[in-house]
Amino acid sequence: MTDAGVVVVGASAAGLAAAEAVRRAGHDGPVTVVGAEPHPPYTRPALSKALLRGTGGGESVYLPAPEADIGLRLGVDAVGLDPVGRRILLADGDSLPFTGLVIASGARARTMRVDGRGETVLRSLDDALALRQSLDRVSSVVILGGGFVGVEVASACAAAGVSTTLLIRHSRLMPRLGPQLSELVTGAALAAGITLRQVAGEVELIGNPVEAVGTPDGAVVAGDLVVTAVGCHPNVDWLDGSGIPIEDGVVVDSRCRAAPRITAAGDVARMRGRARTPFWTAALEQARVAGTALVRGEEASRYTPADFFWTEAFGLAVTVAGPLPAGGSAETLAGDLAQGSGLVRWRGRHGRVTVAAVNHRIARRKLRALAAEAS
Amino acid sequence: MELSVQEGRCEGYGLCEEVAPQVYRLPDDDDVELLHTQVPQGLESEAVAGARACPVAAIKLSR
Repeated sequence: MTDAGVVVVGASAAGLAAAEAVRRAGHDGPVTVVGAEPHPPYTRPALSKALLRGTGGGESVYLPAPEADIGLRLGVDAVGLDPVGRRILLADGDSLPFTGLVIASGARARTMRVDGRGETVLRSLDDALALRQSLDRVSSVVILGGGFVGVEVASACAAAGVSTTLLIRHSRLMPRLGPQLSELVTGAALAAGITLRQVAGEVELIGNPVEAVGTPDGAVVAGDLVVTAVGCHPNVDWLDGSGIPIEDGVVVDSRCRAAPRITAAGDVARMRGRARTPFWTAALEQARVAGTALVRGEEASRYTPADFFWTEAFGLAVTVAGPLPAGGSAETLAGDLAQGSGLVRWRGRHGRVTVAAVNHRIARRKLRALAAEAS
Repeated sequence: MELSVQEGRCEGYGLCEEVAPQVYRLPDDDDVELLHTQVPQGLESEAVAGARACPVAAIKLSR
């Protein structure tokens, strides 16, 4: 019997890492990576940071191309999974047979309207390039959402000299960082001239394209551009009817397995019993496990979640190892956060230790070691 | 295969070094150091995986 090969759905950092892991684990049949976007695989965290602030073109975020023994099929959506015939159905009518499948179809920006009509979001490279271009044309921006993406976008808007309002649910920005870091970011945003407006309850988008946000107290907050930044939603629609277990993402075991000879990794995957962790290193590390487990099964090492995260906004570069939100008793290991740079370790309940570096360059390995020595 | 680091891009996360310690070394307080600019055979897939772990796409390679 000929080996139909491995198909990876998702030409992302996770998709490519999974494909490579499949090869490294000893699979010598075909490996094909399918991607919905026309661009070569690129780094997504850079979109809301360097790309939005800078002048570099799309190619500045492209990742190194895979080796020649990995096939790339770009610009075509996977629209279905036939679990019996073991084929991936593509939007162009074609289909790809597989003996092994890695689901790395990622996530898309959540929108306020069901169909996202008229909304501006930031998720893809095209979104980022379009948003950056519009910053040259507009004089005011309203951003819905005070999480990581919303705040990073606000920072780019401020840097572009655009009057910026953030509509936020919590009293502070990036609440997920924990009170102390969140306070720091909020202070930096205010110092940069951002208007913060706390909104309790449901908001309503007005216009198509959206030109204002109606708040529950009857106010209308208008801007030349309104950006929705309210999180992401796993791309699982194409798996309808496939029998793959889905609950806020593809549910996988500790070896990233979702079904026999089917694994999942990255923003689309959710480890059983945990929340999704749509972050760079989690995606890459899951991808390596997902690719290896596809070939080696039980011999593959289990995925060990290692919380690592970074953000950049308003002149603050924050890097965090350990669970969020960071809280508990804080210990300053270097510098002074109040002065704008430092290294801080929190000891929270149940042995939770989180270390954060603010405007303090440190490798992940060292940050993790500082967390481990206190656990 | 030839490696290069794009000027001013490295942010020091050291993810390349974690994936491919035989190819990349991250000194304290400095940009990544390439242990090979011409990657020897046998280290190529490691070099690619390390370059691709960089979230700011600082490492470029040409074949």
